[in-house]
Amino acid sequence: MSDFAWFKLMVRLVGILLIGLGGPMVIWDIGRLLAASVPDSPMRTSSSLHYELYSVGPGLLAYGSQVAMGLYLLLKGDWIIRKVVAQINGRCAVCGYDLANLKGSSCPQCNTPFKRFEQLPVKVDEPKPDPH
Amino acid sequence: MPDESQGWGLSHKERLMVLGIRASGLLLVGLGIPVIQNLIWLVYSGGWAGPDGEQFWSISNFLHVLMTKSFIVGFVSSIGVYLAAIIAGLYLMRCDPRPMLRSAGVKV
Repeated sequence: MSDFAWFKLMVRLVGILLIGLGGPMVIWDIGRLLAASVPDSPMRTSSSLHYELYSVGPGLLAYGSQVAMGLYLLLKGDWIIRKVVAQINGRCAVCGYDLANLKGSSCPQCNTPFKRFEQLPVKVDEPKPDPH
Repeated sequence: MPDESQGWGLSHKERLMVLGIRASGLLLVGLGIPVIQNLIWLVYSGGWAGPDGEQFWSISNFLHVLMTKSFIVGFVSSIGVYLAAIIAGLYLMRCDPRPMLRSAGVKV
């Protein structure tokens, strides 16, 4: 498995975790709103829905954002992955463009220059040989 | 000729470690998102606590309590933790973690 594929898998895992953390809170907040809005509910008073809206709104927004981020990471996440793997795997430090086998000295997508080194300490794409 | 387009010259295992650090940064940012709730609540509840016991929300009430000890303690305890997670996450997502790995005894 390539580094890039492995990292994508990690990002998907983070997405699932965020959905798992934020999802129950969103369901809980929606449940509170529904309970306060059902006509025959014992939780409903003349001001209960108004109070619940103020009380639940910020939480719904916060945990809804968390779930939205989790869904983005789980289903797509390309933009974040490109940004995060920049520099590590032969990619541009700014936009994440794949710089492997390029002749020039700057990124063709965003023109960010990249330096040339004299030599690499370790061969890049192979794991170190095990001495035992 | 080897150059930066070939990455940082990390071995396979080292690159996995660096990517793991960056993924943990992403997770920290995600965990810090509920700061929105605390931020709204702190601003909302702060505006009610006026010096003369006003029973309506106003920006002057909020500004009045902004620098009180209770507000600062509330800010640090409820928002500070989430903000710290977001800042640390953003740092880990974009930083060069090689010095960190070296200090942990990994040869990078």
